[in-house]
Amino acid sequence: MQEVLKKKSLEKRVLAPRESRKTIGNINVQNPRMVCRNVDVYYDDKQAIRKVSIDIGRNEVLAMIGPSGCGKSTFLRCLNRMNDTIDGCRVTGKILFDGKDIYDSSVDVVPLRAQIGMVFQKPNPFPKSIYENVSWAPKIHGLAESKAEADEIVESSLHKAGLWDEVKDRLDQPGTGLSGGQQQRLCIARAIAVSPEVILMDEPCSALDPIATAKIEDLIDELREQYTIVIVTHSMQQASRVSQRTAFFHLGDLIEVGSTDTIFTKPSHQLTEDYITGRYG
Amino acid sequence: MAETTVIDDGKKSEAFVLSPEKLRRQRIAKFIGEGFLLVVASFVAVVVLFIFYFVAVDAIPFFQQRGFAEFFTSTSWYPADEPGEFGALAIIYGSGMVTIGSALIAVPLGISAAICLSDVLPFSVRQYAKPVIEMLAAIPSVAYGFFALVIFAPLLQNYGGPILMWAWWLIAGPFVLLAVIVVGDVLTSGNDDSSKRKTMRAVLTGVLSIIAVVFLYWAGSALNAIQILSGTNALNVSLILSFMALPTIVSVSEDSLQAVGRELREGSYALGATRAETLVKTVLPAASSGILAAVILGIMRAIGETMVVWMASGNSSHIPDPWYNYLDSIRTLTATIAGDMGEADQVTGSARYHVLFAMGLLLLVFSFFSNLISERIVVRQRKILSGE
Amino acid sequence: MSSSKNKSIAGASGSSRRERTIDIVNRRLAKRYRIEKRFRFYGLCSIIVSMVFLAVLLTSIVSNGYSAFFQTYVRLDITLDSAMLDRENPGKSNFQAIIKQSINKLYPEVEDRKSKRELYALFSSGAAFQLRDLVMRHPDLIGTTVSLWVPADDDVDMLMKGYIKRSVAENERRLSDRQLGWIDRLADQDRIEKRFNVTFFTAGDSREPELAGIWGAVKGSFFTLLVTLVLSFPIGLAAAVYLEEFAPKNLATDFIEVNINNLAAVPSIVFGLLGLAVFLNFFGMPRSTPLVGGLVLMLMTLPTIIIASRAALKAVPPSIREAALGVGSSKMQMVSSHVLPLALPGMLTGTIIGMAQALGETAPLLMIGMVAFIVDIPGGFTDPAAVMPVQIYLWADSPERAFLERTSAAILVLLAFLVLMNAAAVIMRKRFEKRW
Repeated sequence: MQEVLKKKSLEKRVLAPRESRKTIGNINVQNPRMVCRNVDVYYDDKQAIRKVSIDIGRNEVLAMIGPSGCGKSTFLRCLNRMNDTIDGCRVTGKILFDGKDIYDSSVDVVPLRAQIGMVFQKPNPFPKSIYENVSWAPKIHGLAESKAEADEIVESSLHKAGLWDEVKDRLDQPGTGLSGGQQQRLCIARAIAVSPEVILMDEPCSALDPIATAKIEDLIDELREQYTIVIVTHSMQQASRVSQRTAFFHLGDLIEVGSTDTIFTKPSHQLTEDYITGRYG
Repeated sequence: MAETTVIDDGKKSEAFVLSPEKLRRQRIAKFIGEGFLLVVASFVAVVVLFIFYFVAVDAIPFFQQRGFAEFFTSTSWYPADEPGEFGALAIIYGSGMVTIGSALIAVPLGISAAICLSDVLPFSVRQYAKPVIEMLAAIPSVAYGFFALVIFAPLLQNYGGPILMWAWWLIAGPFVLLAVIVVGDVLTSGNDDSSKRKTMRAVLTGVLSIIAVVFLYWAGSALNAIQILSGTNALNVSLILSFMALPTIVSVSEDSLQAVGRELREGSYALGATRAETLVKTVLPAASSGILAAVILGIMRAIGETMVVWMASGNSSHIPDPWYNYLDSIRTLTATIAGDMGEADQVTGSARYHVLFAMGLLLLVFSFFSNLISERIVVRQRKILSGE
Repeated sequence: MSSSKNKSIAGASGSSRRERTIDIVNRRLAKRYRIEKRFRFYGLCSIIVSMVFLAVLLTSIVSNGYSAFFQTYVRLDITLDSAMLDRENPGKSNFQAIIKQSINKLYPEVEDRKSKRELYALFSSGAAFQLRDLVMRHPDLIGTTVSLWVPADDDVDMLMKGYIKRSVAENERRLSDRQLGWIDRLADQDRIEKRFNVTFFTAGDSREPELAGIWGAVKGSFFTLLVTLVLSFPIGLAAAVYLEEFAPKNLATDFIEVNINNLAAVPSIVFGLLGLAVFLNFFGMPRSTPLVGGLVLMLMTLPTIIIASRAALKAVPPSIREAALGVGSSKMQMVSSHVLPLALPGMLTGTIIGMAQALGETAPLLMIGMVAFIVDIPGGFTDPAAVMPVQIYLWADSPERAFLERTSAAILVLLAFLVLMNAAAVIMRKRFEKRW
């Protein structure tokens, strides 16, 4: 496991050492959920994220776009400290969640991740039953003390993920037996089950077919009412469909941030425009 | 970078921020949990060092009492005498003899079997061939020893000559004939004229074949006349040991060949090479380090084997005369340790007791050394193949 | 094979002086295919040689051993004369004399002592003990005549199985002509037959082949393996989990890994030396017991279990670990709730294979004293015991012809256990491979 993660870190693109570029657009929001200031991420000696500052607003969907290797996934993983699991990865700067820096030494990463959930690129349900997939995390966090409570959490999470009708009769069947799109919705249900405040999504539809993708995009729109969502996506169409704010990354810098409409119709930075018009990917 | 007003809902942050006390408790729990695992893993690692230490501690007194020269240079092994003689040269020679003998048989056999399994055989046949070879590995050494002592030894004694002759024909025959054909081809390939070359080749091959057959026959009858005095000898042991080392060589070589990957092979086939050419020119060189490691592991298996040599080597501590005479009885380090310890243990503290530990130390050092080399080779091959 | 570089390779419109590429290639082709065939032939040969050897090995052992599953018994009519038996203390009576009496009744013409001794030699010395057990269990039989099938002496057994040939001259035979005559008479009276050799499976070791069995060795193996399993499985599992999940990439971890690998390289006899020097001489543990044997074997099987467990852990996909961490589980929880259950089948398979290897080990156990002659069936971990391979070795050393067949039979029993264990491992591997 360690070797795989180490390899992952070594595959990051080598970045030439230079100053970070100034961000265009307004990074601030009113009453933000999370506040990031001057975040740097290093893999051993190589810097992957350069002095990124951005606010994440309540109940909004923030899309992070950019060419491959620009660091958007890396930045996303900082928000719930998943980068801790990678050997040699160092994060500096401040990331505040409800006013508290999540990288402070007194922070316990375990309940933090119950508050900031994550959905991964390739659906990864546990090789357990559907019921157990959703109920496992609430149980370990003490959110479901009795079977009745667990049943309730499972049902409501699956409802919210739009999966209940399809699986309510086969909750004891293995989660891995579902289709790709269903599995990803199961993973979303699993993340919802611990009542997070923020849900991070790392290219959640890139392994799915268009119909499943559409379902999940609809789901994201519904979830917005209750949760804050940060989504990394390769697809600009998806970003324009689901998000209210968009951040454009390039080679580790946050180049431009703004409302989705503005970014996609009137981008201010040349790089942004080139990316959106497809001059490079 | 403007600072925005952050609504600090102090209640929420309690959820994931730990009080210092809780933090400390959590750290201690993690320390104990992971620490326990670390202790267990280290224990296993340290065991090796302990083995080395305890064997060395009991081996050193021998060298203190008797020095190094006698052990390594003298062939007089009379530990029971007063005072005893502890010349282990013949025993060391015996170990080396059977190891080399078994390697001579097992290495070509094993490598060609591995090649066959990985590249030549169709998948359905492979399903049956692989378990057969793995079965050879699963048979306990005492069963091999029994077979060597009770069945093979009398066979050698009663029918030794004819067996050798048949083996000679079976193994050397095809090789010699192949050599004849190859020589014939090589000597005539310089000639351009196709028909002339064909006749020349036929003539040359014919002449060489006759010479070859005569040679085979002469050697064969010489072997036939040999009388094997005792069936428990170095040949018996070498043969049985080779079948014990074979599975190790085959499986590690096969892994190595598989690790070379399809791309390399496909590249060669795409250029129109035959399978044999692909194997010999492309795959084998790429897998060579792994195969070398396999051979080393097979040798380690052979030299560390005790039961077969104890039961079937004759246990006679002398260097055969002449030095290559495999039909003579010999003695190995492992058999000496196993056989002599019964009596030597009664006189704990004597040179007789400690010399056995000295032999054990010798075996240990050799094994560690070989293991280290084979590890290095395997790691190096993996690095080369994955392009690091 | 590269003389073709001297030929010029022309395009499709090549003139008659230069050759086309394909012609050059075709010329070589025949020879290359010949080499190909020879190559394949050699490869196949080596596999066939291995198969042939295995077949020869197994057939010779089976052919030597199957007869050991039968033992020759003789029916004696024994009068349990109350005069000769002590009713109060039945165990103390002279059963040997009673047996001799019943033999004498069958051959009243045999008078002198020397001939009588020759006659008694046809019957196993175990007959007296068999009778004793019977009388002690059923004392009400005293005063009656019972018909008892007693084991014949191993020489008689060998005759009945055809290993002692009547055609051989008398002075080269183990049985005299007179003895052959007596045996024939038993056959005429339907008093002699071969029955299933239950003793082989229920008795411990004995100097008499017809009374020798492997049960003691089987129990000894069982206890020893139990000690090995109980010690090596948890330790191996913990070490593997640590190395795969928790160990940081530093020099200390490298050191641990290198040394675990070295442990696998230690020759088996050196483990015996260790057992002798440390467990027996230093700690003063009892010799030849399953406890010490198990300790020594544990050290030998640890590397196998650790390597198999690590492979099983590596095979668990990282996505599952990330998913567990992502919902806020701690590392310990992730490993114990998600990774271990998936890796457990692989670990168990490796353990079973390790146990199978340990079952066949002989040399280190010889060094800790298991070479002694042990008759009693071990009852616990600190009773002196033999294990199956050691028993095989001891019997292989014995001169009696009857031990040869028993050694082969014991090897067959050992192989049967090994086949069972390996099959269990393979089945488990196949069953759990499909789970996810």
